[in-house]
Amino acid sequence: MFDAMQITSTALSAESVRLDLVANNLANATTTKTSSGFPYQSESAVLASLPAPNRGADAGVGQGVVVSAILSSQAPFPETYDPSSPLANAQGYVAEPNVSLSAQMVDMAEASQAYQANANAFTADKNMVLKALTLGA
Amino acid sequence: MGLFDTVSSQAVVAALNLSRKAEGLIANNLANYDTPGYKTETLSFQGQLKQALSQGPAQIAQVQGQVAVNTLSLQPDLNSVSLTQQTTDLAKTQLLYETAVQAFNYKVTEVKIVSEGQAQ
Repeated sequence: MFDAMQITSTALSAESVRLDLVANNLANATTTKTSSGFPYQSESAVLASLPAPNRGADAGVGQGVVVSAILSSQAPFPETYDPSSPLANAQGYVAEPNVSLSAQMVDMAEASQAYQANANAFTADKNMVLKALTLGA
Repeated sequence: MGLFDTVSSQAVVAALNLSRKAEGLIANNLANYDTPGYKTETLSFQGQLKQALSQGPAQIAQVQGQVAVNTLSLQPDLNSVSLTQQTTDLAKTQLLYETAVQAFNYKVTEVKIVSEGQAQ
């Protein structure tokens, strides 16, 4: 009965994971050395849809979305010239994290827009259920 | 024959059930707004319902609606969900549902007036 709200809540969780990742990426935008010895690698979420059941009341209606993986960016680390840094290589270059500020801002805007749209869908469905309670009144 | 087995009552009940299902599909489309390769699914039932109206209450109750998949992708990740389209559909579906609730309540009022044997 509350399937649409359940579907919407899977999306709210997934979109907030995306926002968490953006926050973590921005926080680590200047982390030049992690425990692996390399600069921080930008992380992003991969979303996958949950399949629709074949029978029952929800037959044919997909059941929402899930974060199927969190991938580290394989983009090359940009280098800056800073011979005084203890992390500089023989040529005097320091490897920086591969976090792209502009890409993170776009991702953040998109995730919060999707979050808002799903929050609206939740309210819409809640109103439908409340309206159903007035049937026959 | 039950009090609510008429064509109009059955049509209202069908509209309630089908718009609820349409709402589920819209919720799933919005949930998959960022899923690569996801295709928008829409439930259309107005045509079938209109056809069944002339065939009687039993046929109306059997209307299931048809799920159409929109394969036209707007985004490079082959996802075909349009936020504007889905938000519009959501509002439309909600209005249809509320209209159906209202129509059902009018039917109930009619029956009440008759059963009480006096005008309200």
